[in-house]
Amino acid sequence: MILKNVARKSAYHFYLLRLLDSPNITQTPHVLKMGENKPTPTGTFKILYFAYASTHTKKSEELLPAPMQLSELFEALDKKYPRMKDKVLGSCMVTVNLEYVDMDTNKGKELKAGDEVGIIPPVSSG
Amino acid sequence: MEASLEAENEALKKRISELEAQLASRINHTSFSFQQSRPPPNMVNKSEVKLSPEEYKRYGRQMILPEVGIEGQMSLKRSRVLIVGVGGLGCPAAAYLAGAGIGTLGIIDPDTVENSNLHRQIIHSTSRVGAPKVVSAITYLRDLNPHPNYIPYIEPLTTENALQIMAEYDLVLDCTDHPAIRYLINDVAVIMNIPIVSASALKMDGQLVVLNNPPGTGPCYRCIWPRPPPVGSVVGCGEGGILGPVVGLMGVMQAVEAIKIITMNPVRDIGRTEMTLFAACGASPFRCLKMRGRKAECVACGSPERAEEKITRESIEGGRMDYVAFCGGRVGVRVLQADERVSVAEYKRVMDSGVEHLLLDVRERTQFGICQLAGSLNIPYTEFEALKCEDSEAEEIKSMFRDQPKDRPVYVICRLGNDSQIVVRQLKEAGVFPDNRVFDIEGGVTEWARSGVAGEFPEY
Repeated sequence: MILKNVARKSAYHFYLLRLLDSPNITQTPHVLKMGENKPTPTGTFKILYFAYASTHTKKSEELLPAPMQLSELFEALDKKYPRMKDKVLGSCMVTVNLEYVDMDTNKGKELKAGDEVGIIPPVSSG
Repeated sequence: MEASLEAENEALKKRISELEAQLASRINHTSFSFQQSRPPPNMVNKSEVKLSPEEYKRYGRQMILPEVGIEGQMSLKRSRVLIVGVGGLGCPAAAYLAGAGIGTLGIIDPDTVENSNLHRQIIHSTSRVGAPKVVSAITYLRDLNPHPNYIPYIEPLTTENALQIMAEYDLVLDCTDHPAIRYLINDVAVIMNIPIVSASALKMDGQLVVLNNPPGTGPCYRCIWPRPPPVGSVVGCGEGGILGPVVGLMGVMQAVEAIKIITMNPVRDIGRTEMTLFAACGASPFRCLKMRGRKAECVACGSPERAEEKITRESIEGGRMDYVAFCGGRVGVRVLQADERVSVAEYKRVMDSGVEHLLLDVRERTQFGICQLAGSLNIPYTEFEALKCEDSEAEEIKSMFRDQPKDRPVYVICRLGNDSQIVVRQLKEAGVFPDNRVFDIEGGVTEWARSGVAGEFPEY
């Protein structure tokens, strides 16, 4: 939870810095109450980690540099979080902008700035 | 005085749960023979049903909804729903479905109520701790609504009973707690053309998805998650923790989806499946994910490239599907030292030497019925497993071998050489055979067949 807040806060700072750079500085950012609804900073896509993907990365979301080929995503994450491919990603479902993507048939797909990617493992308990 | 009253109270509680279990098993048998004569399952089962004046009143508040109406209420009464697992998800789902007037509600669960369940499994009760969950659930549900036909199954869902049990239902709710059963429910539901309302929850989060709906069009569990979670990541509510209302919410949502499927005929939004993720502490607690239709090469509902991988009724019934092994459950069990195990060739020499010994086969009875080694005694692994961690474990195991001479070496065999190791350990710890000459046969009957040490032997 703490980590999540830190991640959210740093994303927020990033956003503020971007705003300072942009010409419409006079406008105060006002839609910040819902963390996930704020715009993603230019040049990044947002990735959300659910269930044991979140346990492995120790965070619930972060920003990664865009663009990135979908086929490179797992390698990039495995590099950042050792053994993630083996221990987590092999069994996960992936979504882009709230829509399921088949990792086998969508190899050419590009993750663009502002996209939201979800890493969703199967949860079996109940 | 107080102590003796408490003791009496305890004894009476125990007696009540025993009687309830007996009653449930009797109901089980009578309803079973009744089921045998029923027509095959069909969502558009047009059998005649009538509502009594009491039922018009009881269901009035939902019948006046245009989404339900009298037709929807009749559909609910005609429908047959199976709830697999009556725990954190199954309890609220069962309560709302019973309340809504489902015609036949089957409930399957092998467990008994524990007091650590009660913070979330709200249809059980403190007074029913120790009773089978199925009995406890039906006690509550009958009181809530006496009209549905409640069918208890106090047993686990297995490859041996799943096809037979699920054939009696139009819809199944997956309220289980292990990936192996989730894959089993999925595969059987695809074969039987039954939609699945699947949910799960852990800690503060939940998932909900309707699968195989309409059958043959919507994706199945294997389309979405073809590979099971790695063993280390499978955390149960016991280890990971769970907030009662989080899992309760997912169960309630399962009831909503089930009622939608049953009342809204013909199925609307064909091919549109959504998964709902709930994160109690997330900035946006609900997320709806758009899913695709079924995967062309899915081994359960599609046509896999290698046709022999296709899951069929025969591959499940024939015991070729080992769901526990698929989910990494008991793969590579190594609980014994090298000197506690013998190879199939070594056992063959024991057999040929004519040395007096006991060969114990711990496979399930159906598998034992398929093929067995000469002179073996069959006591299924599940009977040993059921005794694990019970206070009476050692005594119960000893009584299984009451009639066997105790001075001979014992060799234990199973299908693959995993279960047999665990049984060897249990036999030794229980001290059943005083000189503890108990050995595991490595690789089980599968290795026996493959190695060809004893000529031709069926491999299944």
